[in-house]
Amino acid sequence: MKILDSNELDVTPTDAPLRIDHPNGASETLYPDGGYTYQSAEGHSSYANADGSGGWMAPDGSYGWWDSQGNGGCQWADGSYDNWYADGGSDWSDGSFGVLCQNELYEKHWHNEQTMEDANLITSLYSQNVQVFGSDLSQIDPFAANTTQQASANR
Amino acid sequence: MKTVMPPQISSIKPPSPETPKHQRAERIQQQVEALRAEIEGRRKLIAESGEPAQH
Repeated sequence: MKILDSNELDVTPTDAPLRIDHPNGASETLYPDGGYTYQSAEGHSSYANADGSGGWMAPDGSYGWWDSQGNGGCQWADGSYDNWYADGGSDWSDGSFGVLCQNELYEKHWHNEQTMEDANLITSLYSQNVQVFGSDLSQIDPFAANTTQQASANR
Repeated sequence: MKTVMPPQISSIKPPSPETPKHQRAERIQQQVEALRAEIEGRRKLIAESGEPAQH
């Protein structure tokens, strides 16, 4: 995913906010610091900062955010959430999460019955973006010995 | 001053429950990327429009 860099923006500096109210009820405001806000008549809104970060909100109460580093998240109206990270990892409110393995997202449920050792291993894999080698990613078990050794080697 | 057409800003929707887990984050990120691009486009458009503030 290409992350837009604020340096790529061609925003003309202004001395005061520029606000536009549209006939359809939407409004937009551009702030002197490069910030931008959008509000629709239906209650959707979004914003962006000059550093490339931003977010959105919906009438149902869901909202999301992203930063300039490639991280982001969404909080949904039903209370669930999804987060993703610049290293290719992601996690969900049901306890699942993914790590990047040879450019594929590997998923593994993190159940409560798993041991703290398992949890620590997964946390290590996740935080270090461990590359797991294998032709069939569906057969790779992050708790298997080879993966453990790989994780250990990267510690 | 230029006339600035109303924006068509996308909304973000959660992936369907049938979406495979390994595609879930990707689906959301695609939506977010589209939203970011729309926002950046609007920022540039408004900055170039010279539209005065309306209070």
